[in-house]
Amino acid sequence: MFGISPFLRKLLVFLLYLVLQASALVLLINNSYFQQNAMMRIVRNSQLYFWEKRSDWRSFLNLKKTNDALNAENTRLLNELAKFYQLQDEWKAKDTILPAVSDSFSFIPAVVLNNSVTRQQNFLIINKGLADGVTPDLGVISNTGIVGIVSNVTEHYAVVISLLNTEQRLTALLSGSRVFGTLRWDGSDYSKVRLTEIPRHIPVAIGDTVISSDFSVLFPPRIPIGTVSSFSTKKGTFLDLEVDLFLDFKTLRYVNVVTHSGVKEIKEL
Amino acid sequence: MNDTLKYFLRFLLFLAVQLVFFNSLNLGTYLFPAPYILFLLLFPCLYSVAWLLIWAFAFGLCLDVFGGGVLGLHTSALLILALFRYGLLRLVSVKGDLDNLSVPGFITFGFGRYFVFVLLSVLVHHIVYFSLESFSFFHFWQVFLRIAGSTLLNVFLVLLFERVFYAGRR
Repeated sequence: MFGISPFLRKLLVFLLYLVLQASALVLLINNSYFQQNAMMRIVRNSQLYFWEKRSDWRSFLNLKKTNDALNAENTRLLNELAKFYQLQDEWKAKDTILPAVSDSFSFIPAVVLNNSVTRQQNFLIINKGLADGVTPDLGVISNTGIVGIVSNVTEHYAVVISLLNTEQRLTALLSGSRVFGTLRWDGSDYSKVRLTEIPRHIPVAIGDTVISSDFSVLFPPRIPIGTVSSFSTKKGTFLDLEVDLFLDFKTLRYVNVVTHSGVKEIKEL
Repeated sequence: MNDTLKYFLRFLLFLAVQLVFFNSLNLGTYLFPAPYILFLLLFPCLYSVAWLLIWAFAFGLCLDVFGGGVLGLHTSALLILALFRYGLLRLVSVKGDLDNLSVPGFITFGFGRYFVFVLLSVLVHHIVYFSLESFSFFHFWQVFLRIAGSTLLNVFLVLLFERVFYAGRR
């Protein structure tokens, strides 16, 4: 740059390129898998400020839709409550004791601060963290289906690995035959996932409902996830089902983190 | 105005527009709107490649951090574009002409040559970006379609922005 030969100058520029590119690649490789390093925390804090502002601003635009959904949800809950009271009265009339709830799931409501659907590895940020009882490896659901699994938690925020992440694997059931398979996303369409490893002899029809597994402590059993839209045989032995999700990841804002009283005990078994 | 200050303001403007508007715009898997590429294309023809690399690194990093994706993805793609930009300019310009042309654009280059320059630049950026994002050749056709679709969209957006906001000023 100051009187050095053009060749040397080109070499220096290329070296600068190599240094910068190397640091970019180091960042890429360190963060492409479940973002679990300490540096990420520092970066997250600055991101969160920005996202929180943007999320607040965006929620204005979706207020009508969100309100409608909340209304519907309220109605549904009121109906359930009514049914519950009815049952309780019946039990009382029979003069018996209410059965103890065997598996106690409880829910922590949270708001989605950041979300994406167009990447191959999609993550969500929610506004609940350690202080609210959210810990890594908890399931996250919304009114209309499964959202993902918590991966990384700070004091007041958590990172959720979306169902729309090509590295995500979940177990799900076919509601009719109660056969379970692996739920995964192929990275193309945010409204579709695939249910794989269903044995070929199982009768499947288009329109069958896919629900969450009975054996999971991550999600309450029998949450509707989606309906089968097409299926084909893969490698001669297993069926590969395409599932239309009930959940619209694009407008997702309110979610519930699922906690289960027995998780720790079950994991230690 | 001081040139560096001008570039810095442009940096902030492009970053803000991309983060607030285009990153939130969901056009599906195959169309990723990224007109921010124009930021690198707008530098003068003979601008130092070393400084261009530093601008590219800073811009990419800000985009990765505040866009919330995988860190280093936009940065890598922009760095490669910055490295190849001068070569691409040489490719589309007549020999010796580059010294006379101040800034690449519609008016200085003419539509045909500027179009080829933008097309190649966007293509270089997208090939790196989408290949790194999927990180395997398993979904080859999907990656290919994403590159093709997004290239068409972004060439259009870049040409549009150049035409509307910059070409008239010179």
